[in-house]
This record gives sequence, structure tokens and C-alpha cells, in this order.
Amino acid sequence: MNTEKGPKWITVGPVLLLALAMSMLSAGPALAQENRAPTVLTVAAADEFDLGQSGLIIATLTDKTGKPIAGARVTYVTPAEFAGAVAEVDLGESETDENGQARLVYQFRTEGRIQIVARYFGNERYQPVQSSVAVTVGGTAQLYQPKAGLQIPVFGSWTLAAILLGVWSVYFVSLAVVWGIARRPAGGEV
Amino acid sequence: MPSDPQIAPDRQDNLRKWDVSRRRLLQMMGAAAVATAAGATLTRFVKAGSNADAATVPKRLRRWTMVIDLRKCDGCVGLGKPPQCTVACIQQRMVPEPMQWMEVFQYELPGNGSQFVPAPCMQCTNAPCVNVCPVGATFATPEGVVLIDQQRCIGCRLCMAACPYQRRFFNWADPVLPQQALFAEYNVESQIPARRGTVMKCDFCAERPRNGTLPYCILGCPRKALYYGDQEEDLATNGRDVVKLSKFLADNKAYRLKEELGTEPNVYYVPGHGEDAGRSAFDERHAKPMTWPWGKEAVDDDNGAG
Amino acid sequence: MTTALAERHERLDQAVLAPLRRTTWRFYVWTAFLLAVVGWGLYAYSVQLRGGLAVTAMRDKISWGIYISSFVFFIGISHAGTLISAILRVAHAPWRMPITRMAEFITVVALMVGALMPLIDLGRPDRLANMFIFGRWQSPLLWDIFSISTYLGGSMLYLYFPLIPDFALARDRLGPDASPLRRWTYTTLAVGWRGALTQRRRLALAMGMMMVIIIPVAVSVHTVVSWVFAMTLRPGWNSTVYGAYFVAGAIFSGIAMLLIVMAVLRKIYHLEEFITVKHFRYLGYLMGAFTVIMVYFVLSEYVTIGYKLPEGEDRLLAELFTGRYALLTWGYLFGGLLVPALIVFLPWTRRIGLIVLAAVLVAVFMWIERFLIVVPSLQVPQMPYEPASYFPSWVEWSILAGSFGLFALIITLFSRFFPVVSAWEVKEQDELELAPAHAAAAHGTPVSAPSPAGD
Repeated sequence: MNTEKGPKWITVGPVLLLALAMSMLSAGPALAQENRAPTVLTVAAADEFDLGQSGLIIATLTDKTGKPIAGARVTYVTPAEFAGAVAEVDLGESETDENGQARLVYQFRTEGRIQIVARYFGNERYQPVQSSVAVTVGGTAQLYQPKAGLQIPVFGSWTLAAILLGVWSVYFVSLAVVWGIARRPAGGEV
Repeated sequence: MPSDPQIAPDRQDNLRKWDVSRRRLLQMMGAAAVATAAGATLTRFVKAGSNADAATVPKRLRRWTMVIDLRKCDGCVGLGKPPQCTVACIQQRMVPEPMQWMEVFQYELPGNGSQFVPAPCMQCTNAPCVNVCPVGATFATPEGVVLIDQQRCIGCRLCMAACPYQRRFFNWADPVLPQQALFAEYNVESQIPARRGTVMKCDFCAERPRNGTLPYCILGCPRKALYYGDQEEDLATNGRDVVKLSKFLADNKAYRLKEELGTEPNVYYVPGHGEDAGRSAFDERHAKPMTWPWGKEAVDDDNGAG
Repeated sequence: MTTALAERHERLDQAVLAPLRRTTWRFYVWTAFLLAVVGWGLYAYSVQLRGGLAVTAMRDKISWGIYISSFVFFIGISHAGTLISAILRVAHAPWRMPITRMAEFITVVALMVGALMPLIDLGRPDRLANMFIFGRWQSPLLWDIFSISTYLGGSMLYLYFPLIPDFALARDRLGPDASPLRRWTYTTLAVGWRGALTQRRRLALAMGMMMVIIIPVAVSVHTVVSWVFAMTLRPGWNSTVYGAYFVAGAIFSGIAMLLIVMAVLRKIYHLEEFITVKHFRYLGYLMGAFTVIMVYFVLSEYVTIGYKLPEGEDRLLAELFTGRYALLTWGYLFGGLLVPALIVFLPWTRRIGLIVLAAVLVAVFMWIERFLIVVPSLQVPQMPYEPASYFPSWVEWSILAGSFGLFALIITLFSRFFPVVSAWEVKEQDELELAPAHAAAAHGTPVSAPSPAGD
């Protein structure tokens, strides 16, 4: 700094103090971030599921000491690929109970290695955190059952066939009766 | 076209086998209704086709579904273009003029507003058209797609009278088609080439999701309002987002058209009037008229109504 | 048998055989005219084959038109035969005798012409065989095929059996007036009928069996025709009474057509002695009774709909009664139901000429009523479309004219080669009526049986 032409300390000082105060104030919230408690999220589920089976996914949210965080909203997604589009599928959300556990019941409808990602987006006290669990879904099942029509017993195509057969039989019998006229010569009264 | 391991080269024969086993399907559906829902596993429908590459046989039957998010559909009025889903379908499927297999209607809303409603074939589970066809030219595949065999249809039009959604169209004269249609190999799933005297309609482009891509209308929608899904895997996508189908339907109060008729359509609608695309319900603009890119003067569709 | 009766029967034989003996120039002119009409219809059909169904006025919105409504009309007329021959036979109504033959003619011809109409309406008539190779029994059109073919088979038998004694009459009495081929035909078809008692018994048995079976078959025919419409969800068609409504309408239009054919043939072949004003009156009463039944069905259909006005049906009723079809609807109600009923029920108008006029009104307005069944229900939009319109093109009118021409042509040819009155049944009936008179004369009590020669 050029002391001959530059500002005197008496003028620079307050400016520097002001700048420092302002930066501290603006850094406040940023610094305060680091005051938020780190959190730990673990997601647990069984290793393997059958296709179509419903599984319980438990996400446990604690702070780093292991104390459970209650009333926190946990969001679940699963990465999926369908008809060429790859994206995260929103599965829903649930809140942690007093043990810090949030539950999701999910029916596994896609085969293979499935990843369930749980996310907590944080609040003013706690940091956001995400965690995931991978499960294997195997087996085969047809889960969609088309809604059945009405199956009434007894009646079927055979009823129609029987009716037609009956009617045409009457025709042929009467025709046979008439052709018998030709066979019997005219004896007897007119 | 990528070779499809699930359809034999002679698609016709395989799909005819579906036709023969339709009665069996009906009987099985009846039995399934009686059986308890939990734990009932349906016998596999294994297509007995021969394959050059002997690829995997499908283990699960899909049930293709569409969900149309009317919050996002503004009839492409905001873009100043005719509805792009219809344009894409006409272009790619070589739909003869003046058919619109995917057609965008404008319904009145309570309060004198209006909404745009794109309507493909509803692919009804209890399809009136399938029920009345005298020759079985209209039939439902095990995946729930209702197809029309262009080589079997006799043109009696009983199906057109039966369809309560008016989604079937007839070739009253020789259809005007682009030149490449002449060389298209007949395929019951794509109805190309169109011919005189038969009925045609939206066929849900079912071979495209099987091959890992999406129908043309879904891809063509600039608002990403159309979702294509599978009720078996419970997923749906509009090409960008993937959603859990059942959750999407429940959360957004989805409904179907003419539910009271009992046709059990497989096309769902999320109520809206294009608000996500910035359209007010009272916007008075109508959809732009449709054009067929190769058309010359074709048969007037309106019975002279204009 | 009295001389008067014997002479009457001789006149009957002569009258019945006269058309088989010789034809006048009028016959040839009439046949040539009908052939021209049919030819014009064939030409129109060729235009349709070349240009596709686009030459009609049908389009995607209104996809059925007068081909299908005429199909319903013709199949409807075919119920004339069943009513007269079978129902009246079962009811032991004696006055039916002279007209049973004509009624049975009309049935067979109407069925044949009617069955053509849906074929003309097909987009791919070259694939007609698919109906038989791939036919689905779940489809109403297949029910039509089963039902109409069964009815046609039954009607042909039912026409043939009572013809046997008349073939015998022709075989015996025509002599040199008929070519050897015709004589051979009559002889073969008469299957050796000599009028013996065993033969009469056999014929009575055969006719009895057919008479009983043909009534439910006929009822089934127009019921399944109605179900082509009632198995869909269109406004107006989605009705549970359609079966009964159509059967009633069929019998109604059949009676009207029978009256018209009766009047024409009676005039041309000089059958005034045998087909009298009594026959016209009785058939007229039946027709009048059916106007009441039709009014009942009109009320059943439209009052139940009109009270509730569900979606779609409100537009249908508006178009039918106050909209573009109002003239036709009210015309049908007044001209097709009220006026004919008045004519046949009021004593001052019960003359042959007016009764035939009533029949013509009924026939014309029943064709219009079939049109009002088919087209307005298709015209009501099921989605937000602008309502379409339909007026048949010249091709459709020409084919319609050709179908009526074919109907008349076949009846004309029929009357040339086969006796139009069932002579033997008339004779039988005469003797039955006279028997009490004989008995009464023998005991000296007054006779109350009606004179067989009519009023």
C-alpha cells in the first residue's frame, strides 16, 4: 500500500472492519451450515425378494452420536429404466417415528438388482443425507390379472349348436315324411 | 427395424395363435376371478414360435397403458401448431387421410372453460369392437392391445357402430399413402399398408416399448403430457420422467372416459386444462387443423358437415 | 258335393292354372321393366365395386345407411309368411287359406333379397368366405347368418309342402299348355301325390311339424337382427326391448306387403272370387292391431328415454322429434300408424282400395322407420364432433331400387310358374264349412256357417 498517497489507516480501518463484519454476516449462514449436526441415514431391507412380494424398507435417521431423529420426512426413489427412459421413480415419503425409523412398504415389480434410495433433505438443525440399499428381485410371477368377464355356468357355444341342430333335425324329419309320400302308392280312399 | 426376439418372423401366425387361444383366455380369466387373489400365479403364455436367434421367451405378460396428463396438454395451441401427437402418429404410422388415430378433442368444462383431450384407441379390456367382430379380425392380444387384422377384415363396420369412443376409421376408397408404404411388409401390429374396405385405428405401437422405445405420439408431444406404461411392472414414462404407475394414477385422481359403459379402457386421464403449459381454461383458441403430408384430395370425413 | 261348389272349385282350378298356361304381353313388358331396374341396380353396384364404398354417402361418423336399413326392412317383411301360414294355422283361422301361398312366397323372396343387402354393404365382399372360415359365434352378424339361413331353409320347406298337391294339380291338368320340362318338374315335385288318405296324413304331419318349428325360428330371426343394434352402446340402440320391437315391426310390415302383393296378384290373375273383401278386412284388422302394438313400443322406447334424458339420448330425441328427422318421424307416426289404423278400423273406409292404400302407407313408412332406427343413432356424436349428415347417393338409391325390382321380379316369375293360391286347401276348407250345412240340411235346422264365397 502506498502510504504517501494512499488512504490513512484511520480511514481504511473502519472500512476494513465494515468489510469484515459484512463478510462475517454473509458468511454467517454459510458458517452456520457447518453448525448443523451431521446425520446418518441407514436403509435396511432384506437381501432378496420374490417378484411381486411386498417388502418393508426401514430408513433409520440418527445424528452422528446415534441419537434418533424423530418427525423427519424421508423421501424414497428408485432408479428405473422403462421403454428407453432412465430416471428416478418417486416412491413416496414417510416420517420417522420416535426411534428415528421411517417405513416404506414397497411391492417389487421389476426383476433384477433394484436400488432403493432414501433421502432426507435436512432442516435448520440437521444436514441432508441420502443412503441406499440394493436388493435382488428374482423369481417369476404374473402380477397383473386382467379383470375377468362373467362366466355363467351351463350356457356356452354348445347351447347354440344344440338349438340349431334341433331345428334342422326337424326339417330333415319332415322332409323324410314328405318324401315318403312318393314311396306309398295311392291305394285307399281319395 | 431391430429384430424382436419376442415375435417370430412370421408374426401373422403367432398372432393367429393368440386368436385361437382367446377362448381359453376367457375361460382362464373366469377361473382367475374365482381363485383367491393372493398367491395366484397365472400360467405362462409362452409363444410357440420358432426363432432364428432363439432369444429369451417372455416370462411376464405386459399390460400396456397410457396416461394422459391433461394439466400439460394445451392442444399445442401455445405453439401455434396442429396437435403434435397426431402429427407424429400420422407421419410415422402412415395414417391415411382423413383418419386421426390419435385425435385431440376439446371438451367443455364446468364453468364454461374448455380442455384439450387427446384420445387414442382406449384398448378396452371389455372391448365392444372385439365382442362383435364376425370374423375375429379385431382381436385383443394377451397384452391387452386391440389390433385389427387388415387381411381378414371384411368391412362390415359393426365394430365402428359398437365403439362408444368413435376411435375406428374406415377406408372408404383406396387410401392415399406415401410411396414407401407400397414396399412395407404387412404386419398385423402396424397395419401398413392401408387398403380399401377395411377398418383401422390406433394400435398402441405395442412393438415399440417391447424394443425399448416409445410410441410416436409419446415422443412427439412437446409438453411431455403423454405417458406410456405397463400395469404389470407398474411403471410409466413420458420419455423423460419415469413414474410408478399406480401411485401416479392415485395421487393425481386419474379417471377414464365413459367409465359407466363398462368397457374398462386402458387409457387414463389426469384432470386438467393445460395449466402446466400456461393455458387458461378460458383460452378460446381452438386446435389448428390437421394436415396429412402426402395427401391430395381425399374422402371428406364429416358426412358433409364441413 | 253340390253343383255350385263343384263349379266353384272348377273355376278355382282354372284361375289358379291360368297363369301357368299362358302369358300375355303385359307380363313380358312388366318383366322387362323389372329386369331394367335390376340391371340399373347391378350397374350401380359395379360402380361401387370400382370406386369403393366412397361412392355412397356413408362416412366414418355415419357408417351405416340405407343398405342396412333396407336389410332390416326386407327381413322384416319375411315375417308375413310365418304369421299367415303358421300362426293363423295354429289359431285355426279358416280365412287364411287363399292367401297362405302368397305369404309364403313373400317370405322366401324377402329373405333372399334381404340377405343380399349386408353383402352389398361390405367393404371387402371378396372376403365373404371369412365369415364362414373364421366366423365367431359371439358376433351378432353370425347369429344373423345362422338365423336367416335356418329361417330360409324352413320357409322353403314350408312353401314346398303345401305346393305338393298343387303341383299334382298342374301335373294332371295342364296338359299341352306346359312344356315337357315344366311338366317333368311338376311331376317330380309332386312326389306322386294322388290325394290318398295316407298321403294326406303324411303331408299333414310334415306341415304340422314345420308349422310349430317355424314360429320360434321366425321370432329368432328378427330378434337377432335387432341385436346387431342392441348389442352396441349407441343411444337409442342400447335398449332391452329391441327384440320384441323388431319382431312386432316385422310382422306389421309383412302384413302390409302381403296386402299389396295380394291386391296386385288378385287383380292380374282374376282371383276376385276367392280373395274377397273379407280377406282384406281381416288382414286389415290384424294390421290395425299391430299399429296399436307399434304405438305401444314407440311409447315404451321414447317415453322411458325422454323422461330421463340420459347423455346422448337427449340429442337423439331432439333430432328425431324436433330436429332434422322430425318430418320423417311425425310422418311415420301419423302416416304410418294413425292413418292406416283409422282406415282399417272405421267402418266407412273398410274397402279394398282404401285398405290397400293403408298397406302402401304402412310399407313406405315402415321403410322410413327402419331408416330412423339406423341413421339417427349413428348421427349422435359420441365424442366432441360436429354432428354429421347423411343423404344417400345415387348409387345407394339405385341399388335400393334394384333390390325392390329383384323382389318384384322373383315374385312375378314365381307367379308365372307356381300356383299363387293354395287350391287344395281352399277346397278342403270349403268342404269343411259345408259339412255342417249338409248335416243341418239333413236335420232341417238353419245353417249359420258363413258362405264360402265371402261377403
